[in-house]
Amino acid sequence: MNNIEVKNVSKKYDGFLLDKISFDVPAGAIVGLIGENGAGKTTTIKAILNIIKADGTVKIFNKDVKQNEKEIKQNLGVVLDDSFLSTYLTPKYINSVMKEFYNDWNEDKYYELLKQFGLPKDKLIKDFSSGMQMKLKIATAISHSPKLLILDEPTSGLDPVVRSEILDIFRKYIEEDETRSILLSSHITTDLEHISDYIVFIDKGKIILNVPTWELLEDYGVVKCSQEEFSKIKKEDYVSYKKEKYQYEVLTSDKNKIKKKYNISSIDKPSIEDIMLFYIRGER
Amino acid sequence: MIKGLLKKDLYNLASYKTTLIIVVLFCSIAIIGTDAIYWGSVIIGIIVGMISLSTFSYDEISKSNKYILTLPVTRKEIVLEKYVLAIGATILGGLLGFIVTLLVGNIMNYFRPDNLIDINIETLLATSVGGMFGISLIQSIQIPSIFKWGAEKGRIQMFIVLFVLVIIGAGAGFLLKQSGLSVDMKKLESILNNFGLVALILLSGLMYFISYKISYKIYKNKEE
Amino acid sequence: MNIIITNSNEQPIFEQIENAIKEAIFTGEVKEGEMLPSVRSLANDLKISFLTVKRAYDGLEKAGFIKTVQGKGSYILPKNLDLIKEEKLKEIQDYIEKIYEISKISNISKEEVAELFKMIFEEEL
Repeated sequence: MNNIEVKNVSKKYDGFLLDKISFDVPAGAIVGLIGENGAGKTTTIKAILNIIKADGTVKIFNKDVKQNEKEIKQNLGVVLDDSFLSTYLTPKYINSVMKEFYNDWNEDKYYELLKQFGLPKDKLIKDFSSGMQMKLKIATAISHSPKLLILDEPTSGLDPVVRSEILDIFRKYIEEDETRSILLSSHITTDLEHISDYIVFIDKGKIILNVPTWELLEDYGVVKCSQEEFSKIKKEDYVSYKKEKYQYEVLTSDKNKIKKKYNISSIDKPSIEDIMLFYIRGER
Repeated sequence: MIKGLLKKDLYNLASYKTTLIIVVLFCSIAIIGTDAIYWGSVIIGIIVGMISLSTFSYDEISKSNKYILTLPVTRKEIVLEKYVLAIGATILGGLLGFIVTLLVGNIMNYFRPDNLIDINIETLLATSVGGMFGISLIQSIQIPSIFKWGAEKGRIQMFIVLFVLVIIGAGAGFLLKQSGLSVDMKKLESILNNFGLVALILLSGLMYFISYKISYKIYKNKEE
Repeated sequence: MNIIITNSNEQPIFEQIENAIKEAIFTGEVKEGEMLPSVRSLANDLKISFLTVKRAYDGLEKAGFIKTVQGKGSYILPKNLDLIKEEKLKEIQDYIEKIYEISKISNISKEEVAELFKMIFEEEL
C-alpha cells in the first residue's frame, strides 16, 4: 500500500524543468526528499499538493489528487517552510480557525502539543522564534491526526537541539499508527540519515536515486586509492569518482563486492551528504 | 470552510478596532462642525469597506495563500470568501455611516436647539446607498486586480483603472455639457429616490457577480 | 535487553541487532513467548530506519529464533533442540568438573568414581 504515488510528474518553468518524476511513499514509511537548493524538491511537493498545475498523475491514498482534492486534504497535514495561515494571529486563534477546516480537528490534542512544545497560547506568531514557529506549524499539522504528513524543509534554519526535538515528534507521530507516512524534504541530510526509511534524491529536476536509507549507509563505500590502483577498477564497479590532489576517491554502491574483487582492505563509510556530492560533482 | 477563512480574516482585522473607533469619532466631530453631514456617512462607509481589502495584504505578508491551498478548501471557496467579506464590510459600513450620522445629528440637535442641523432621512439614505455603491464599484475593480497582480502591485493597477474611469467620466460630462443637454438635478434626485436605490443595489450586486466570475477565472489557474 | 549499535563497526547494523537479540535469548533475558518491540518502535528508539530493523527480524525469523505474525508483532520461539542439548551438556560438564575437583582433593581414584557412576546408571535400569 502506498500513501503517495507520483507518476511522470513534469513541470516547466523558465530555466527549470521538473522532468518526469516518479516515486512512491509507502504506508508506514518516512521518505526523505534530498537535493540541492533549486533541484526541484519544493516544486515536487507543490505538484503533489496540487498548488501548481503539473503534468502527470499524483495519487494520494490511491485517489487522484486533482479529482479528490478536498477529501484527500482532510487527511493531510502540511508544513511549508515559508508559509502559514497568518503570522498576525495567536495559537489560540489558529485553533479557532483550524477547527472550521478539519472535521477531525482535536482541540485537546492541539493544546496538549502546545504545552509539550512550550508554546504560549496568546502571543502573536510573528513574535515567535523560528524554532517556535516551526513547532507551531507541526502542532497545527498533526492535530487532526492526518494519515499523511508532507513537510517542506521542516528543520532548516533551526539549531541542533530543536531539530532533534522535531525529529522525535515525527517518530512519535508515525509510531502512533503504522499506516501513516511522512514525506519530508531537506537539504540537511544528517537529519534524514536518522529518520528516513527511503531516500529520494533529486538533482536538476530529475530523480537520480531512490533507495532504502540503509542501503546508502551500509552498501555504499568510498575507496581512496592511487591513480594506478584506480585505473584497475572497472567502470561498472563504481558510481563516480573524484580526482583529488594526492589521491582518487571512488564511490561504490556495493562495497563488499569491490573489496573482494580488487582486494581492497579499507573502505570509508560515506554520509548521505558525501554520496550526494559524489553524484552531483563526481565524474564517471 | 468559508467560515474558517472568514474567521482568519476577521482575526487579522481585529487590530483595526482602534482605527475604526477613531474614524467614527473623527467623522462624528466633522458632522458636528459642518453642514455637510451626509459626507460623514459616506466616509465611514468607504473606510469600513476598504479595510476589508487589507486582508489581502495580511495574506501577502504572511504568505498564507500557499498554505491555504493545502487546506481542505477549493479555490472557488477561497475567492468567494473574499467577496463575502467585502460585501459584508460594505453593508456594515453603510449601516454604520447611516446610524452614526443620524445619532450624532440628533444628539447635537438636542443640545443645540438654536443651531439645528437639518437631517433629511431620505437624503441620508440616498447618500448612504450611494456611498455603498461607490465602494462596491471600487471593490469590484480592485479584488480581481489583487488576485491577478497581488495586494501591493494590485493597488497601483487599481489606481490606474480608477484614474481611467474618472477621465472617461469627466470626458463624458464635458461632452454632455458641450452638447448643450441640461440635466435636471431635481428630477434626477426624485428618480433616484423612487427606484434609484433599488436599482443601485441591484447594480452593485451585478458588479460583484461579474467581478467574482473574473476573480475566479484568474485564481483558478494561479500558481503560488 | 541491551542493543548497542555502533556506526564505526564493520558489521552492518541489522546484523548487530540480530546478534544482540540472539544474545538476549541465550542468556534467558528474553524468554519464550515474549514479544519483541514493534519494528517501528525499536527503529525509533535506535534512531534508525524501520527497514533495517525489519531486516534483522526477518533474519531472526529465518534462523528460527522468532516468529512474526502479521499485525500482531514478533515473539520469541522456544529455543531450538540442538541449542538446548549443547547448553545441557555444558551444565553436565560443570558438575563433572566439580566431581573431579572433589575426588582430587580427597584422593579418590578415577576407578572408584567410575564405579559410582556405573552404579547410579545401572540402578535406574
